[in-house]
Amino acid sequence: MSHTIRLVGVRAVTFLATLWVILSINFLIPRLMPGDPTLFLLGGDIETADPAVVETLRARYGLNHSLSTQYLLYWQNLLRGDLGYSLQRRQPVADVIAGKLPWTLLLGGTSLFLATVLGIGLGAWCTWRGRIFETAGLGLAIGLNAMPAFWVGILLLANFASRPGSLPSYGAYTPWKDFAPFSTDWLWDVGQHLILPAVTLTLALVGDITLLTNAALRDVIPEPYLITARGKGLRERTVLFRHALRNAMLPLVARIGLMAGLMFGGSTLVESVFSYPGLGLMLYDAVIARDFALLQGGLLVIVLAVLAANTAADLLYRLLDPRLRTGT
Amino acid sequence: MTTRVGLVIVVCFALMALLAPSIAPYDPYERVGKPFQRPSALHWLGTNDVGHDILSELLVGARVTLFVSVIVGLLTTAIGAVMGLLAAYGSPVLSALVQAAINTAIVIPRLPLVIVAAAYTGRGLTALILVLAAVSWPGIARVVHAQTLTICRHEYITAARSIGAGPFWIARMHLWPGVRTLVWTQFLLAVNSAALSEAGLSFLGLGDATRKSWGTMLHYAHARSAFLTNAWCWWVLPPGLCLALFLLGLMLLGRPSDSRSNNH
Amino acid sequence: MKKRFWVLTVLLAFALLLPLVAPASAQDRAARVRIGITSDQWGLTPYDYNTGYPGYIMMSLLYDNLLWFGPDGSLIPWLASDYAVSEDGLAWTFTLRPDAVWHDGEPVTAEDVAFTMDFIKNNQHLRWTDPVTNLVASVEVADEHTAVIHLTAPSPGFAYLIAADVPILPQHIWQNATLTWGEPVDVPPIGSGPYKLVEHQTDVMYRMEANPDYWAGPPLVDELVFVIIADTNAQMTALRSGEIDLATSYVPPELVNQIDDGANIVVARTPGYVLDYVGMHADRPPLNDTAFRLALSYAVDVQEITVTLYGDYAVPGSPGYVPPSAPWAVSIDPQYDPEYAAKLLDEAGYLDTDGDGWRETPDGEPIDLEMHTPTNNPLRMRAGELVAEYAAKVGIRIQPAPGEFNTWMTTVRERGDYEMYLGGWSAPVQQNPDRMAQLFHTEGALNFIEFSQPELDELLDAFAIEVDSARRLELAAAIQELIAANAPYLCLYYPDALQGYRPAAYNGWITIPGTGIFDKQSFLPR
Repeated sequence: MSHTIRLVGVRAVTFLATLWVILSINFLIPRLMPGDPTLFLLGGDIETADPAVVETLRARYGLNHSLSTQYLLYWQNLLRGDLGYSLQRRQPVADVIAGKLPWTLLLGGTSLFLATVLGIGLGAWCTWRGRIFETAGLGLAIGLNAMPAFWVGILLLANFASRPGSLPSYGAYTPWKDFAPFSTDWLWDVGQHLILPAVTLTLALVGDITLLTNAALRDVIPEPYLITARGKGLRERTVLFRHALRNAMLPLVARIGLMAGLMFGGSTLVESVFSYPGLGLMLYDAVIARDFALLQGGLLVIVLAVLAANTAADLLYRLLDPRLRTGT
Repeated sequence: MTTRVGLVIVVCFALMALLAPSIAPYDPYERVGKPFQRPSALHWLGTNDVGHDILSELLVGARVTLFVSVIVGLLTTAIGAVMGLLAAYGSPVLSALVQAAINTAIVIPRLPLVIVAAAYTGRGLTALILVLAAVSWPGIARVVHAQTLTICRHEYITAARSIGAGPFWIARMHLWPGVRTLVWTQFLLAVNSAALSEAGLSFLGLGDATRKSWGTMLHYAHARSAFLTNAWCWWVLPPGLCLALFLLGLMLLGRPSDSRSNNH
Repeated sequence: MKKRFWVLTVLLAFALLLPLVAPASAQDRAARVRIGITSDQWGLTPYDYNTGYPGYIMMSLLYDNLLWFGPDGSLIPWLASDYAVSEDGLAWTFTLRPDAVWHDGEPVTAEDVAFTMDFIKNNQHLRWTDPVTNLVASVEVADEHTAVIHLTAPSPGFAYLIAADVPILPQHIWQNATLTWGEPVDVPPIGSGPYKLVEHQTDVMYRMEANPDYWAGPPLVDELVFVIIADTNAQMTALRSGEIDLATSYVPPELVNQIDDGANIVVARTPGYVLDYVGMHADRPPLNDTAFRLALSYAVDVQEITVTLYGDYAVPGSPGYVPPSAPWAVSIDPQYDPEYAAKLLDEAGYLDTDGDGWRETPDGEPIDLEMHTPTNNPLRMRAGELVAEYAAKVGIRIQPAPGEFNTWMTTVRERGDYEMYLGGWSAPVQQNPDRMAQLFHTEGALNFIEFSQPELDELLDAFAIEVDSARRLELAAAIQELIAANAPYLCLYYPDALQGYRPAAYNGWITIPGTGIFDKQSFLPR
């Protein structure tokens, strides 16, 4: 009994220690960058600002506090759940993130879902069907993996969004058309804006998943239990889905779990090309503007998402593979 | 068969990079024509926005892109493999520490790190290389860790230990052969990822803009509106295709060994 | 029956064909014009706008100033219908328009003018508090529509710096306002301008509606929608696809011919007051040596650089700093003479003593100058490369050091830890001749290069208080010639303002020199 308690205790301590280190890094790295938010606070007057006045501004914001004082304040706010105030956007950080999160989830979620379905589908199909199909399918996957996402995105943009009446070229929705959220018009509008970015991101992700499915299946194919299954007279499709894929799922779950977690960081390049209002672009802007509070808030979201996704993947492991249910 | 195709492609690019200064028709840093010229007999891929020969840029730019991606790949794989082995095979304390380090490194923000590194290392590629390596090694470590764990569960390891084999001997005789092909595949993936990252960061303007690479070519092409005009054929397509082709070659090179990695 | 059939047919045909024979659909009025901007501009009150362009202009759609820059580049009466300066130059009398009203219906009075000056003195504004505190002694409310501003000293610059720059605030709205730095101003954006702000979605859009009671007449466009598109390429794509009707991001020079087809999209071209230049830190050798800097200015072919980067769409930099299109500019041609540059360098003692192809200082120290260039502007990056190229031809080694913008700002502006940098000044700096003092006077607030020349200081001091316009032009000319002789900056070029728009959506644009077509005058009845 005490052994279990000690185990859980060690686990908990390790977890907290890791979290502490990660959050400290999230505090430190932005502040190591030269510069601070004053440049963006000054807005349109940056050129003509008297340096003496800038110093006063800095003092008023506590931007010239020592690093240790800022560190203590950081933890104080974090533990209170106060994400702070974005100096660049002049809004509470929580509000900014809340505004971007749904779009990140929409774009990332849609793309990851499509990439998973298409990836596993393509990977399973081409592995199962034979050498030629496998080479062709893998070739396609490798080709897709090799193309830079922003390159694909801009080419799509230039070809499918630059004529009157073609797909929208920026944003997540048309701002001045006041459609009621979730009405048919609104859904259509959002959908139209989603197509090109989602296609770009899906193409960027699908190759990876296809290759992984293929590799995982190939490991499973020589296993004896498949021969048994076929010997029992089961249809090919049952053999594939109920036996082969199920066992090949583990590494896939691990990988897709990690992708799902990192998805919360948004996809900076795709969002930048399509001006899609997600977390990736928000983080990039926050870095450029040295908006420490927003940067910290965004990084926190990513950390929590990755941790949650990893835990979910872990649980899914145990569900899929009974062998892992016992033991540590 | 596919491996051979991959090898040919990679070797071609390696040769291109190595011989670039000799085979490039012009010095890509020298203005040799009017800006924005279409492909012609003098300039097979036309000229860029200030008058550099694009073909020469492509050839010489291969050096930086390939150099950065290979170095980063090597660093990443070396660190990742060692950490992965330690995490699976080291003493419980070491293993726990290393695992914690891996989990920490996965969530380190890349973009601010690039800027910080650039600020402290000044001009040059050092910042880019360090950052890309620092951010990519955890992925490899995790995979190697998982693989090592699988191997460790096999009976022959228990058998070896029971006859008194030391950890280094076991590592060399059993662990390394088990992960070696995996590490090779991971190295190729790491080079792939590094090349795309270099292109992406240069594209955003965060690379070393004074040195020509495929990424900086795309950066200037985008900045000078090449994607919106028909210049995209000879300015945007070649670096993108070269990148894709090079990475294709790498992946083909690494293909068949994948399935052998989990067999016993 | 048959007759009615034919009549109807003819009428129908006529109705269908009429649009074809009607005049081309370039609009002089519009229900809505959609404008692309690159970033959120905050609250759009005078204390809460983000960038000079287009933020200040958007704010000026809501708020009026006493004077304004007109279509020929000179100041015209705006909120004030008339103004007069006293003999001694110390009292400026402004007569306000009797029909000017705030968006909430209250009349604009001289009290508002007095309140505005007072408010600015007491509430720090980076752009106006200093000039107002230094120049404005007091404001006298002579009657409801007459305000007399008493200056501390005669200052012709007052017209530019304050009368044409400071928006008038409604006293009844702002009198109880408390401002906290960096936080949104808790005051509704009620001004006296031609438009009212009706909607703002942060990072997404702004919506403005025409003010029908505007003193200059009801605006020609009923609704303005500003959508935020951060990337220039994306704005160009949106313009092409018809998603926006005006792009405030300048059209890149290489795209003008592709985009401007004369019918669907037109690119308006206005002489710009933006200057790109190389700043040389005058406190360290060899840049503290006038001969060295002058030699560099002769070594670099500014004309060729301009044409290479901008084609026809920029004016080569004047060595005297002031853009040729400015009213007080004196014509000084760019100097390009590499032989003379080499001669100057030889005579000053900068010789290649060790034969490595690069010159050393007279003491034998190698010259290896770092030029900091911000990566957020690719054209400036290219300019840096070209400058280094020309310097190399006369044996001066300059290495461009690209840096991310914020890092560049910190290095150059804050730490002052640099040798050379490539930067730019935008229109507000250029439109006002008093800026020359801020840039080049030993005590100039914007003199980041720490340049100091006593003779120039004298001229600048004289210019600051000179009221006579003829004498002002003479002084300005002398100042520019002295600047050219000392070469504190290497002035590269003044890019034109290139703004793309769709005539079919709205075609009533007016060109304002230095600003472009995006100005409130474009929306008002002529």
